[in-house]
Amino acid sequence: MSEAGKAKKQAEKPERISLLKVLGPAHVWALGVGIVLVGEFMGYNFSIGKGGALGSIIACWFIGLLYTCVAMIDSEVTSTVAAAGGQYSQAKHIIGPLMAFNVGLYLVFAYTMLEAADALVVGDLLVEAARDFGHPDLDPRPFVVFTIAILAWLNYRGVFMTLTVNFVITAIAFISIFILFIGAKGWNPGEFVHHREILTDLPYGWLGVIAAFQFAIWYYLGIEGTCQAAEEVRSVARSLPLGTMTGMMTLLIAATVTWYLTSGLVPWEYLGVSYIPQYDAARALGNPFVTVCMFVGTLFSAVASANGTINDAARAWFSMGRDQYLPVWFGAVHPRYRTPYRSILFLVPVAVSFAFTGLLDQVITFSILSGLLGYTFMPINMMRFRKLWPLGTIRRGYIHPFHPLPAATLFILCCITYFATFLGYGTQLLAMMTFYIVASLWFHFHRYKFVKRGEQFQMTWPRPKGY
Amino acid sequence: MDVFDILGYACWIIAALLLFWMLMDFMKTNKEFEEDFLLSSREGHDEIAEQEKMYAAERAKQAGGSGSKN
Repeated sequence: MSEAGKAKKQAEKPERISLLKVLGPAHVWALGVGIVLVGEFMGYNFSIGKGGALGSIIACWFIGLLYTCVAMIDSEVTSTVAAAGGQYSQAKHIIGPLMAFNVGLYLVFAYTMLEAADALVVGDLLVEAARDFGHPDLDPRPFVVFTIAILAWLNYRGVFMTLTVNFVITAIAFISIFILFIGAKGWNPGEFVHHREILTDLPYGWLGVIAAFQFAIWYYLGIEGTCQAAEEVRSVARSLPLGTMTGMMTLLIAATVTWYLTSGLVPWEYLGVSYIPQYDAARALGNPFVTVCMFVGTLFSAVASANGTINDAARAWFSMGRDQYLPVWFGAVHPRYRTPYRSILFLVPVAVSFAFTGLLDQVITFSILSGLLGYTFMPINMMRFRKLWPLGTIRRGYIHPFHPLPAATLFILCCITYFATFLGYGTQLLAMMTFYIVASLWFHFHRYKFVKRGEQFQMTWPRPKGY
Repeated sequence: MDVFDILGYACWIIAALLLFWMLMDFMKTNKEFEEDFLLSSREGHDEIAEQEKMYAAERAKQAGGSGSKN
């Protein structure tokens, strides 16, 4: 374009560009539940393999408590921070740059790995369906790339349509769990669901229950992603706590119903190693309509999750770029679609590369561990937030009750889950810790000098107590 | 070649088209607009900033009120 044309274009536009504030509580719910719900269709069942069916439900409720603490803490802090980047922005304001950099990386890796895992699930599911139709050697790669490409395109074109689509497909996936409940006559134990016959005691004792914590995270992994929408919701103080807390309630119900149905339909020894447990449970039921519904539910939940993770990973990457924790080039907003288009596009090949490794369990483990590191930061963040800005000094859209009990509970449950992860994936845990330590050193010695020290703080908060 | 093979090829083609479209739009946007403008977004503090101002004013009012009582 000529200089004159460029100048004309510049003259027509406003001085400053921003992400579009168009989202409501339903979109926040769709973002949070959409990312997580795939865990109710696959992944959670590995906790059954670790601790047996009863071990899994115990772990499911304890991890449910962990995530309830996460949701409460996140709701309070995010209702005061109207910034994309979620926990990264919280860390930046409340703790400091090194913590913010690490939290930002946890978010990007947790979501990008999850996106890759979701795309792999879509591919595996279609391979399974093709096998059922007599095509045993389908190549999953085109479906993996297609899933990532079409969702990246949707995200590129605008957040409103992206999360509206997520709302619809998440709702359909959620309803499909209840179609299985109706098909299996869940209200009438003994007819199709046979807990009395197939439930066993704890096969590996209480150590198995602790080991199950690692995969029980799948029942809820990603609900904290609602915070990434903070800069794009119309009323942060109202929409974010409402969307996050209703999302958490939805997941507690979905997780319990999922466990109840699948553990009553399929013996734990088989369920604990299945890659598509809901679909397998529907096949065990032998009802073709329910089987199709579970196929659609599994597919939609994986697509919704990939869609939400693209949204969140791009916002975290964008925010870090905007504050120059990463090259500032990533902090650009599309003038027409008002999305962080460079970050969205940059993360596409990253997700495809992870997906093409085909190592679903490794990808999932890296995602879980990155998420877990993020949750461990939250209690520290909360204690400091209440200390520096006590109640009454800053306006909060939501105040979580019983402080500091949720923060302490969250910290203890995180420690137990680290131990559980160490039991199953000790090498990966240590490798990942090493990676983040090396990244921190890089940030401290090389990148920190580029960070916008003062300019990064745009919130009009009062001076912290004691400063 | 059956329906799954055709689906596979269709997926490759559509994915390539979508990625191509995004790349084209990405380059066009970078070229059309000044870099400073594209990078001009700030944390979305507008709404909360307004609330915070009101809250600060309320606090100041309350402090003034309690001060006059004393």
